[in-house]
Amino acid sequence: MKNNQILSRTIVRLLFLVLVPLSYCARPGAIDMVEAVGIDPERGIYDHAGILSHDEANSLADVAAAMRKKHGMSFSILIERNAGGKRDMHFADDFFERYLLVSGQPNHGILLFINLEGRSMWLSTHGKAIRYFSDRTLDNMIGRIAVPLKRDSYHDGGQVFLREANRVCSDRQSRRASYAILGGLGLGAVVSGLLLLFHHSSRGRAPGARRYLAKGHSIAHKGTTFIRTFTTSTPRVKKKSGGFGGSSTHRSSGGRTFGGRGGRF
Amino acid sequence: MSVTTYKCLHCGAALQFGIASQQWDCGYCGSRFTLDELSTGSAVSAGTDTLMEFGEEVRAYSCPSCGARIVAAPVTAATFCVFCRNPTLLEDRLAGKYRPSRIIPFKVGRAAAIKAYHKLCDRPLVPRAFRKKEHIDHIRGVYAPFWLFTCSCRARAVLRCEKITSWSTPSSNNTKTDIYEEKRSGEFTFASVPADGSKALDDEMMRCIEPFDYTQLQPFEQQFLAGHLAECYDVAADNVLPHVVERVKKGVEAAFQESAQSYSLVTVQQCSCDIHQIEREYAMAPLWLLTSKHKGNTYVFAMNGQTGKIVGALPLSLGRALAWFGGVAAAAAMLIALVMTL
Repeated sequence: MKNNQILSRTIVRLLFLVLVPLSYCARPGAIDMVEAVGIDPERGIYDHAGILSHDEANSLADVAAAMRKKHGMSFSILIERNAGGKRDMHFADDFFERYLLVSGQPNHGILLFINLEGRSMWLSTHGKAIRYFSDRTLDNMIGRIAVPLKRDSYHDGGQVFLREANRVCSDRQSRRASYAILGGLGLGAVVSGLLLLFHHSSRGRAPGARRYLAKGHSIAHKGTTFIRTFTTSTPRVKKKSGGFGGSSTHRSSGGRTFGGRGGRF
Repeated sequence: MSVTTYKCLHCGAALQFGIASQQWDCGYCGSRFTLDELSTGSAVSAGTDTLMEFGEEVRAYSCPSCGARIVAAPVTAATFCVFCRNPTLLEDRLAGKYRPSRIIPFKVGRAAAIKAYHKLCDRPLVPRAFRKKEHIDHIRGVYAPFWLFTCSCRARAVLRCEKITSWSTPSSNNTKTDIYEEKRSGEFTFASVPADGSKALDDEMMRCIEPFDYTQLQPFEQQFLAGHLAECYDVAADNVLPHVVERVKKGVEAAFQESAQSYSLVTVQQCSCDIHQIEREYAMAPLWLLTSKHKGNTYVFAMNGQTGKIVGALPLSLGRALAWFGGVAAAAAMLIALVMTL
């Protein structure tokens, strides 16, 4: 009887030892398992941890779809229990590359990856989104997204992400319109100014009377007097190198270029 | 008082001075004559009289060719019959005190003048009316009255001269300025300084089409005027002399400045000129002229008929300027928006 108990305990332990690792493999945190689940690249919300309700996921997906149509780039949220042993950046980039950059989909976009176990997130950008979202912008977004995530309010975090991304893209587009108008007016003014300048340059110059001075004139020196001397000195200004804020980029395992920033909550 | 037309010795058609050939060409039979050949009595004369119209003195004469009555301004010395285009010289405006001593014949032809005008007007903001053929056809060759002054001058000057040297050290840029005062005197002769003798022609414009090549000055023969317009002077030499004196003084100052080329900067502080032995000469110089009206303003295109130098102020078409501004601005805005979308 005692032996049977020991045997059954041993079997349970063995099963535990075998099944626990298997269960980890079966968890949706791993890319391969996600691939098995199937990804709809048009949906935009990928809650593999199952922490969003159906309505919450649908409302975020609707907003993401509208933004995608408006700005011509994808806005995606990926929620996983962990990063499958990878760094957040690599996990997000790999997901982006494998499932979102497929034919028929925009080649530009931003992905918010939330790692529940690591209490961390990563914003991955690709294509023109790298230009739209500078490092500073991404850091600001992470700071704002982290606030609801700290309260474990992931739906609110998703909303903040989409709202901030929409604001950045809209600002960029309104800036683009302003730049286009200002640039157009400026160039128009420059071209018109040049035409005006060119227009008034048709008058010849009268030659000076020096031209009519006959050869053989004589000029005599009657004396030179030194008046004074002075020296002026101005300090040399060293050129300072400077630059504007931009977006740092890196290469994914697939060789594509991504931008991105990460943070904790 | 008589009116003169030079006629072809072969067919009797009117002769004109040929710019390319520098002889007198018959446009009808193609004959060509030298100045010597022309002085064999080919001129035909007709009467002229004086009348008053609109309170301004004008003169009328009968065209030797068609007999039409032609009205001319008091300063007109050579013109055309507006009916038969017969070139005619009014001799009383070319005789006595009005007879020029020398003339520079046309060297640049009408075609070259039209080409130069086209080039000048080939600018986006010039009104279209200025480029129309019927407008350009009004370009005309004119012999303009000039006074040529020759004078001697004794002058003294005080010059302020600066010698500037610059050098740099790792921490500063340095400039040293040494100032000197130079006293100089000189004897100068100015030859054939021109001055406009016509009230109708703008003095500044006439100065701008200078210089003329005086090596081509010839003794005046009125045959040179055949086929062109000409005016006698209506500004006396004494009236333009102050302008010439001023111009000579500036020439003297320029000569003093040039004599101190070893300095970096030379300014004339004092300059006294004693101008003497002033001689004046009445001459005629060739111009191509086109006068245009635009919105109440007069615009004159002038070309030196000897050297081809052009002067011409052009009107600005505000509509075309706005169209250019709007077109470029819209195109640039669209291009910038497109580039930023990519």
